[in-house]
Formats: sequence, C-alpha cells, structure tokens
Amino acid sequence: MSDHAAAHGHSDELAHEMPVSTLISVFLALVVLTLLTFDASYSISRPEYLGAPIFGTHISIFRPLFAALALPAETMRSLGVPIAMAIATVKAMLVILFFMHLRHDKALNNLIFFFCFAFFFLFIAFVLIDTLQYQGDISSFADSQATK
Amino acid sequence: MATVDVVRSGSAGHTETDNYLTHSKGLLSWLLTLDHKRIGVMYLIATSAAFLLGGFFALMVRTELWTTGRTIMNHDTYNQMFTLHGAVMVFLFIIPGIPAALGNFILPIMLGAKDVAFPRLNLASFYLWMMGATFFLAALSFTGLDTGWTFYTPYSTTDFGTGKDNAIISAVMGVFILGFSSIFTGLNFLVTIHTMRPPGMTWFRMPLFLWAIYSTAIIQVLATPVLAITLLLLLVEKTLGFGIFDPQLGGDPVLFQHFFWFYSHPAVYIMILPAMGVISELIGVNCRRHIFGYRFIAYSSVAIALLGFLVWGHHMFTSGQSKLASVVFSAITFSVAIPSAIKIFNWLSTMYKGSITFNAPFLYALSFMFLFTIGGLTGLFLATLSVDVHLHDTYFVVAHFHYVMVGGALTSFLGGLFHWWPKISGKMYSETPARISALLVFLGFNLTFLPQFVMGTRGMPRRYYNYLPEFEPFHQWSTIGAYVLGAGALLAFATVIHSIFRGKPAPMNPWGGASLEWTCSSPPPHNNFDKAPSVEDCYDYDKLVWDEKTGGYLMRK
Amino acid sequence: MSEHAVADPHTGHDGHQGHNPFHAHHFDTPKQQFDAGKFGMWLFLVQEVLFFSGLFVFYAIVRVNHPEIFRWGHQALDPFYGFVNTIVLIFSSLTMAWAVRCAQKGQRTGLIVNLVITLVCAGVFLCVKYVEYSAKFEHGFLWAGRFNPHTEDHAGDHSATEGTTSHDSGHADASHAASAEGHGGHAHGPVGPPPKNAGVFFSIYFGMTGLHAIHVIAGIAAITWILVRSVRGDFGPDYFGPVDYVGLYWHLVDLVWIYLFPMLYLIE
Ligand SMILES: [Cu+2]
Repeated sequence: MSDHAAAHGHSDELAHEMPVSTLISVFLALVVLTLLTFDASYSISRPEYLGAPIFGTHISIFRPLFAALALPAETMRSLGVPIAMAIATVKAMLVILFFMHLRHDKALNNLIFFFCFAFFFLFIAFVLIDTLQYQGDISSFADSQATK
Repeated sequence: MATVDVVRSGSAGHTETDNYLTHSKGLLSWLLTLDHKRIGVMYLIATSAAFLLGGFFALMVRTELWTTGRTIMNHDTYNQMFTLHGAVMVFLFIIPGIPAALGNFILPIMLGAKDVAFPRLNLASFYLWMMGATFFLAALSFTGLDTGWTFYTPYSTTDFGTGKDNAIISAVMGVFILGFSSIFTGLNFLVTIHTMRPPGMTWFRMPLFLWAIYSTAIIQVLATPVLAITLLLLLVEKTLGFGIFDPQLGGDPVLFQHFFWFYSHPAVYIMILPAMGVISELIGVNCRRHIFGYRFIAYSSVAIALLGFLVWGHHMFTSGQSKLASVVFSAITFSVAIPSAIKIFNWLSTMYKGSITFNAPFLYALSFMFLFTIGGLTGLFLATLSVDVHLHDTYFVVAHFHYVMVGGALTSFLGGLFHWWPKISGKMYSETPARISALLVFLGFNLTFLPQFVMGTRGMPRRYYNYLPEFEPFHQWSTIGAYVLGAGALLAFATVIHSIFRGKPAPMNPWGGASLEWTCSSPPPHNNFDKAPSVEDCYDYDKLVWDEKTGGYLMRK
Repeated sequence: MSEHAVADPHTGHDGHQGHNPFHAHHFDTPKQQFDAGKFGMWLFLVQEVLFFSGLFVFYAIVRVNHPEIFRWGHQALDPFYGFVNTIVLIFSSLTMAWAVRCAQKGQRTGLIVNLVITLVCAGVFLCVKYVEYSAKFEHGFLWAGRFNPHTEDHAGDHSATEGTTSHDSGHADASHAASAEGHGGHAHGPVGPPPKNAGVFFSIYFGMTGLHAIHVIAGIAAITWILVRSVRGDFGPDYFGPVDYVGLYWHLVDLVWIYLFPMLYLIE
C-alpha cells in the first residue's frame, strides 16, 4: 500500500494536467480565429462583403480596417496570404502550446519541435529562391513555343 | 612482468553461463526477439547479404566494361545492373549497415542501457527493411529497372507500357518502406541516447561512436521523410499523372532533383558519419592514447549533420538550377570540409606518439583515413562550379563518391565488424587472413577507382555501356581492381564466419577498449548489465592492463 | 515472449515494477518510460512535419510563380465545407485533449466518452471530404493528368449536389454570408476560362488533402486502439502514455488542417 502512495506521488510528475477551462477557452479562441480568417479573406477579395450579418448588423474586423487604410487593390491582395498565414500560425500556436501541452513540456521537446520548422522553411526558401530565378526562362520558352 | 592488481570478473561473471546467444533457443526466439543484440545480428546478416548482392552487380558492371562494345551482356542488362548495384548498395547496405547492424548491437551496451528505448519498434524497423528488400527483389524479377538509383524524372515517370513500369513502381515502394525503417531506427537511437543514459553517463562521457550515431539519427529523422514524400509524389505522378514533376502538366522536373537531394545529400552523411564514429573508436583503442580533441570530434559530427542540409544543390549545378542557387550551394559545400578535416586531424594527432597495434581493425581504420581524405578532397573539385561543369556525370564523380562510400563506409564497416566481432560472437577471428583482407580491400579499391579519376578528367561519362578505345586500359585496370576488392571483402567475411566454428573463445576485453561494451562478457548477457555500470572516461586506456592468462585486458584495481 | 520471463535484476530496487503491468523491463522508472515515449512521439511529429513539407514546397512555388492558377482554382472549393471541417477537427482536438486529461485523472467514463466523440468527429470529417471529393470527380476538377472540367452542365448540377447543403441556413454566419454575397445566391464555381495548367491546383488540392485524409484514417485506427484499451481499463494516473501520444498525433493532424484550410479554400 505504501507502494501505491509512492506511485501516486510519481504520477503527478509524469505530465502536466490541463484544466478544462483552459481547454474550452482555447477551443473558443480557435473558432473565433477561424471566423476571423473568413473575415480577412472576404474583406480583401469581395468588394460587396460588409461583414458577418449578426443581430441585424454587419460585424467585421478587417473591412473597416482596410477601409480606413484605403490601400490600393493590388496591395490588399498581396496582404491576403500573410494575414491568413499569421492567423493560422496563431491558431497553430494555441494548439501546440495548450492542446499539445508544449507550454508545460520539457525544453527539449519544445526545442526539437520548433527546430524542425527551421528545416521546413529552409527547404521552402531554397527551392523558392531557385525556381524564382529560372521562372523567366520557362515563360520566355513557353512564349516562343506559342508563337511558333 | 610485474604482477598488477586487477579486477578478474566482469560485471556478468563468466561467458559460458548465460549470454544473449544461449539465452533462448529456436528460430522464433530470433525472429520475434526484442533484444537489440539479436536484432543487430539479424541486420548484420541481412545487410551483409545485400552487400554481397550489390557486389555481384558491381562485378557484372565491371566485367561488361572490360572491352568496348559487348563483353558479356547487352546494354539493357547493363543499365539494370548499374541501377541495381547503386540502389542495393545505397538503400540496403550502406545506409542501414553501420547504424542498424553495428549500431543496434553496440549502442545500448556502450551507453550502459539494457536495451534501446523501443524494442518493438526496433524489430518493426528490421521487418520494414525486409519488406523493402522484398520489393527490391520483386523489381529484380520484373526486369527492367534502369533509372539509376536516383529515379530521376521524367525518365522514371514515363509510361513505358512494359514490365519496366512495374519494376520502377516496385523499387520506389521498396525505397519508401526502407525509408521508414531508417526513420524508426534513427528515432529509436535518439530517444535511447536522450533518455536511457545511466547515472554518470553525461553527454561528454559518451564514446564518439555514440555522438556519430546521434548525429546520424538527427539526419535520419529530419531528411528521410522528405525522401518518403518525394517517392510518394513520384508514385502518384507515375500512376495517376499528378503532374508535379511533369512540365507538360505544369510541374517542374528540377523540383524532383531538389526534393531528392534534400534527402540524398544528407543521406551521404547517414552513410559516412557512423563510419567516422567507428574510426574514432578504432584509432583510440589501437593507439592506446586518449582520443585527441574529443569535443571537437563530437561537435564536428553534429556540425556535419546540420551543414549537410544546406548543400544539396551541388548535385544540380548542370541540371537547370539557377546560377544564384548554384553559387550559394557551392559556397556552403566548401564549408563542410571543415568539420571533416577536424576529424582527420584529430585522429592523426591521436596516433602521434601512440603505441600502435597494427591489427586488422586498425588497418581498416588507416585505409579509411587515406581513402576518405582523397574522397573528401576530390569533393572540393566537384563543389567548384566551373570545374564541376567539366566533371559532372563523368567517372570522376563515380570515383569521388566511391572513395567516400566504399573507402569510407565499407572499410569502417569491415573494421568495426572485426573490432566488435569478439563481442558479438564471443569468438576471436584469426588475425592474419583478416589483415590480408584489409590489404586486398585497400589495394583493390585503389586499383579500381584511381584510374576512374583519370578517365573522368579525360571525359569518360559515367553509366555508359560503350566507350572510346583509348579508355580501355583504364577500364581493365579498374575491373581487375574490382575483383581484387571483391576477393578482399569475401576473405573478410570468410574470416569472420570461420571464427564462428574454429575461433578461440574471446576474452571480455581483447583490445583493451575502455568503453562500456568491454566491461561485459563476450558475448554479452541478455540484460547487458546486471547492475548499472559505473561510467568512467571511455578513452582512458591507462586503467587497463594486459592479462596473459585470459588473453585480454583487465581493469586495474 | 521470453523477454518478460527474465528475472530483471533491476526489479529489486524498483518499487513500481509490480505495481504497473505496463512498465517495460528495460526502463528504470515509469517516469523514464513516459518521457522516452513522449520524446519519441515528438520526434515522430517532427518526421511528419517534414513528410508534409514536400507538398508545402510545391504549393509555395506554384503559388508564388502562378497565382492565377489559385485565383481560378480555389473557386471550385466551397469554403463552407472547409469551415465545417475546420470546426469539426478543432472540436475533436478539444475532446482529444480532454480525453488525455481524463486518462491522467483516472476518469474512465470521461475518457471513453471523449474518445468516442473524437472518433465521431473524425468520421464526420471524412464524410464531408467524401462529399467534396465526389463533387470534384463529378465535374472533372481533378489533378493535372485527369483535369477535365465540364463547365457547361456546371450550374445546374452544382446546385443539385452542393448547393442544397450550402444554402441550408443555420450554419455559421460568416460562411453563409460568403456563399450568399460572394456568388449572388448562386452555387459557386470557377468564373472564366481556366488558366494554363489550372489542373495543378487540383494536384495540390488532392495531394495535400489526400495525404491529410490518410493521416486522419491512421488517426482513427490509433484512437480506436486507445479506445479499446480504455474500455479494458488499462489507463490511469500511473499509466496514460499511449493516450497522450495518440493525442499529440491527432493534434498534429489538426494542425496541418489549420494551415490547409486557408491555403486552399480562402487565399486568393
Ligand atoms: Cu552531396
């Protein structure tokens, strides 16, 4: 029986327990951020979009923001990817830090997981740099084929 | 000799009583074993068989090249032979050879652990290897795999409408599965080294072999999945027409090479880093001097592993890669020479004023240093953009990577095999044939590949079935060398097998190694260590003393 | 197997051995076993991230070099389905995380309920994927090699299959606003002629979502295994590693989708 107590003393150290309130808050935050992604996307791409119709009015975060900034259409469009990726990254961080307990996990597990994204971006960056360089050759070749 | 107080018994008492070989009996006790030592032995047998198969293909290639035109086979068969030689050697032998075979056996014992962290996963890795190998054999039976081991698109994705399609699909699936075998082995080793170290085994008390395996495992986990996705995309491209690598459909064939080499350059370090780890052990033990620059060698392994991810474009200088990328990749490639040179210089410094034993493992280690240095330095020529344009896809490249892969990985595999054989089998091999094998491998190897450097600079393209008559003498030297090399390798294996039946029982510590595997009996008991071993400096050879009675070294009291 | 029959020399000073039937003999303590498993799982996730990386690279280079393909192609995807699947996956992540908590606290019923909900969510996700895929197959919106869109019968067909669901009001307002305003109350579909190599978009779409779906299926298998063991009563405060590890895997599946959703459905 003393063994039992000792085992329980141990089990508390095995891993952090996440409170239910935190789990549900994170879930709600993820839902809100998903809606925000829609809001950003539609505010950029659909001129007729006024916001989500809730309680008889239109609610939007990004539309008034873009209206206030009065950016040219091309600039707005180029913002689409960074904004969507930024929101997705915030969502991802919420999942990683709370659902996956990484906030309370060992430093080593944090290190390797974030470290691997360095390789991920390295891969994308090098290939992107290269393809951007020779893209002109491809299109000029395609054009010359088309005129033939 | 003055008598010295020594500790007579190892941690496990004496050999005959209970060891991992006698622990349980029957075929199933091997096939379903979770013991890392038995899994290591099964890997050893399987990868050695793959080596012999790959070696056979190599000899076929070399025999065909004896004369211009047809010698023994037609060009189609020749294309299949060099493809199978490359694919079998790379995926079935060199990549799993040292880490999965020797590493599996030695790593937990060196670390002072009872097993790897996930024994079931370890066994699963072995069966994944077997499955992958089976797909390869299936590819063999379809006859027609002639893409080279690199599976370059668009050739590999072309719809031939013959058995060749099946052969390619089968081989690609085989490599995909072998990739996961490699990933799980690496994962297992990383977890083992991180979480299973006994008290006292700090990071900087680990033998350098473990540092090398650790660095290798990092690459296996980070790079191999990219190979897996590449091959998966190749499969959907070939079977469904996804168009990712097909310019007709909006894809990009250069992309395939980016994907492939993102894995396959780091994979070169999967092949060579464990070899370097073996050499660090062989040099230290046989020079009876504390390894020089321990931390430099340890860190340089990790540095090679990480830098290895930044240089893959040096395989693509002439294949449509942009100038900007080529310049960047070329520059970074030069930097990889630094950690490699650090190792070589530290090994040389270790040998300086050492009392060297010229046994077979050490002869293999010497070959390694000589051959790897040539392989590494010729790599610098190839990293130079303008020179590479001339040398790309010639025999110079073939010679360069064989100096690294064979001169590096194979010699250290054989050296490590002889070094740890008494531990693995409990038997001493006979030294003379082992030394002769080292000599034959060294001479045969140089005879094979030195002429290829010359041919390459003179413009002999690699993979060609036919060639100009002026290259014939070089090819013939090369072929003779290949047979000598093959004889050396066969002799090495024969020596090892002979010892199983005729060898003297091995003492606990025949070479005077100071790392933990030499503190348990030969062969080790099922649990490796009955009580947690006490960890001391694994390169301090002064604490050991030769004992005439047991024919091995014993610990000073 | 013989492994467990061996008298373990460490048993003597290891009080937990007898207590926990899942304590493997080669670990000194349950803590060491748990940490090893967790580290292994994180490494596996690292492997997964790099496994997916190839498709992300392809996405990135096509996206940057040929944005017109995306501008055209993404209109064939209904953000409503993407939205539903996002919410379903996020919710299943919540229940999975909750399941881990229940396992840690030894709440068997809570654990089982949460795992079942997670499985149901995964099933819903796959059903929605099936509906989406079949619509794509029907209209020839397939990967580059099979890309053969038939736009003429598009409008009529489309409202019959996808239109009905996307006009059921009562789902999220934002996406309702989307289909209502974005397409003037009409079922959506790509506007204008397809640009050159438009099929590449669908190669990316099927490649990424297909690989993700395979991971969902693998997740279902893993969660089912955990569920069986939970019913058997294997887990408790001393031993809940497998629940935790499978949970981590499931969250990664969610994580990938969190990126895939805006990348494919929303970004123009
Ligand atoms: Cu390389």
